[in-house]
Amino acid sequence: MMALQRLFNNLATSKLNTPKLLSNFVPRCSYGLNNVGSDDPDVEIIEKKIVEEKTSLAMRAYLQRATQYNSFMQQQTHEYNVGKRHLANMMGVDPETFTQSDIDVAIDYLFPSGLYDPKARPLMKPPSEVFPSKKDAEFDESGRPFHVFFYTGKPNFYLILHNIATKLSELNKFEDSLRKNNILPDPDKKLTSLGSQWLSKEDLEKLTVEKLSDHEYKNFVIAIERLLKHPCSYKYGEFISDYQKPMISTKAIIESAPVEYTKDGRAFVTVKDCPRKDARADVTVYYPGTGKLSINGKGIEFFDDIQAREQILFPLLFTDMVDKVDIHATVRGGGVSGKAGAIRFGISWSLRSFVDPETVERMRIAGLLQKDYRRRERKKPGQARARRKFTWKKR
Amino acid sequence: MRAYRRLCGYATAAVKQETQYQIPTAARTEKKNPVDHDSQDVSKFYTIDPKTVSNIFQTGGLPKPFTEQTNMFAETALMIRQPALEVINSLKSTDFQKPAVRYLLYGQTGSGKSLSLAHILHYAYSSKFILYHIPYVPIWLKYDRKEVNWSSSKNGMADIPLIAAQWLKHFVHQNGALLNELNLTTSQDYVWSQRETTPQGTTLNELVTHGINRAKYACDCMDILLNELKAHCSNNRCKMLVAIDGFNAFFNEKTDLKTEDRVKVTPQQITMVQTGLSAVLSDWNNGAIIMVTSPRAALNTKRESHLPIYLIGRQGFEHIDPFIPVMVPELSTVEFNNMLDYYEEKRWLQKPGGRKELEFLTSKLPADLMARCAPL
Repeated sequence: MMALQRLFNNLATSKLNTPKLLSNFVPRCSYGLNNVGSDDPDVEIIEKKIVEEKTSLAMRAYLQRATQYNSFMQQQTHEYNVGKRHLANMMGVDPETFTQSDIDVAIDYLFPSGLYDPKARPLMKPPSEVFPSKKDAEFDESGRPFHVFFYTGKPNFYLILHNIATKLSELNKFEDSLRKNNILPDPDKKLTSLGSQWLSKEDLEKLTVEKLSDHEYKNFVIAIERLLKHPCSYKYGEFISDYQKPMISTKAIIESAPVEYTKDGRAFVTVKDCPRKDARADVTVYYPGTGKLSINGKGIEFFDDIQAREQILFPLLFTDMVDKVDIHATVRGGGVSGKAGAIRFGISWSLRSFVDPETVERMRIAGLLQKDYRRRERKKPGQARARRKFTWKKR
Repeated sequence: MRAYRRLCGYATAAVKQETQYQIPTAARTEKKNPVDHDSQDVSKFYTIDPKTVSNIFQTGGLPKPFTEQTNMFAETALMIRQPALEVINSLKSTDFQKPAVRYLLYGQTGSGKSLSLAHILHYAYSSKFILYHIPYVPIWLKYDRKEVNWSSSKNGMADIPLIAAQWLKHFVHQNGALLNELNLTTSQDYVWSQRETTPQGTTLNELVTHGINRAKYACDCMDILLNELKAHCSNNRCKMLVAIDGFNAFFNEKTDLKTEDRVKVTPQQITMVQTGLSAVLSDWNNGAIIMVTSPRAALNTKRESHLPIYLIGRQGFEHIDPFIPVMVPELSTVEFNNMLDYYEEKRWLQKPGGRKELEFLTSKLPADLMARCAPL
């Protein structure tokens, strides 16, 4: 509200004082007056007036937009809170302790949706989550931008590139000075990108609050990699790590499942509910073994087709464990290839405990340790199948 | 030109590889007569000479994929395996004055039951048994568009005349020479119709020929033939081996067959099936009965297990009890390796190695192995 009042004040004053202002100082002081200090007492008075009067068109538009947005959000938040209370009363719960998760459950219960896509289902979320937030003003009241790189169009992004370039030249100077004193940069301290990856394009966009093109992202990766590969890059390790994120998924894969032991001392690992399509498998791998396989009480004959059999064989062949383990699997649901895929995943997941870490890494790269999240695609109305269209006939 | 050169390059590479790689030879036995086979020969191959093959198996008895393979390899080589040898040994030492002993071969699909039976048939053929051999029961009962008529002699039963005539041809093909030699004759008059009779003292060959020529009476002829043979065996005139492959099809719930008035018939309603069932009754001596149950002979809905009691049911079990069950297992490691050696020798398998893989993928079932090696 304060901003609004000021805006109207400004408008009023500028309207009144415009002729005077134009006649006096336009040629000399069109912009930048608030940053320029002046010793002259006469000029100082006039400067104050101008600051009051001069508000850029962009700033005015921004303020208008901001006011609109704030009042809109206020309204939405109010409605959300009222709605929440109503919902709590409907569900017969105390409105004061009614949380967002309770709201989700209530909405799911009260408005059951037959629609498939989660985005199409009814929801009730805080307005801040539903409506995207707006960027703050990037310029002052006179229209002069705060940021040095404002005119590049993507100031935050180019600032990062600028910082990288500056750091790189500093490192070059540092290396030169070391070499002058006959000191070589310590190879042990050298940074590596092992176990981590660069921020993805999406992450970087979130960080800079700017939309980036693929080309720009590529430039960023090239620059930061050049910095990382510099022999003295350890000096700016912290700076580099700001743009790295650890490979969390890898860590989960390398940590193998707990090993149990049978009465006769054989190690075994059980993995429950291995998924693939609609099939679920419980797989137990015994080590050491002799290559026995049992699937729902049958051997490999459980699968008639060779493709499914090869699916089972693949992880064993890959780790060279065909005749070194015994496998006991029960599988339910799904079709043939789903069943085979579920067992394959179970076998690979439990084999991690019995092979060395290098092989686990190889298995990961081969995709054996990756859950397959793909599901059957739904049939669409007006089409024969998921994608296939009816035969088109002119008439 | 460049393509040609590349081709030549490949060819020379292939030749080079071949010179380095010594093609293994499979272990074989020289004993051509199955009478001589003993436990020394287990897991070795023996070759049946083409004349015998055509005498016994020309009109059925070997599985079709195996026949195709023998055409390709230009020889019929069977592996001598424990189950067949077991049966042959006990046939050798049977007291034939006692009622006929029943053997039941069972095992998984593709484990070599039919070929074990073929081995036993070869033994019986060379020991001058009369073969009462039904190559595969489901070809009688499956696949519609067969001519099915109500039987004129047995009320409420159905005949499949053409199939019966076909079987009689098969019987004559296998046993014609032996029947001539033994000079077996009918023991009583058989009146087919007002005009057609077969008087007492007619040779069995003539009886069968009549059945073939007058297909209408082929089913009755099968039955009469069986009774005559049983009687002759019991009188010590001859020895007989009853061999039925796909035996459990007799006990299926339904067939694909329909009579002309569109009535579906069950297996038990078919005269040929009743003949087959009476063939396995042990009310005669001087012979043996061998049955093979196979999951593939069962209906699609009843193939979960290969165990005989599951396949033939309680009724079937009571019908053939007591019997000697003989399990036909998958190949042993020695047999498996010898089989692959044989395939490599015949260039059915072009490259060595991958045996562990093949073992896992086929679980050492010979039929699976054969099919799996075809594109390799």
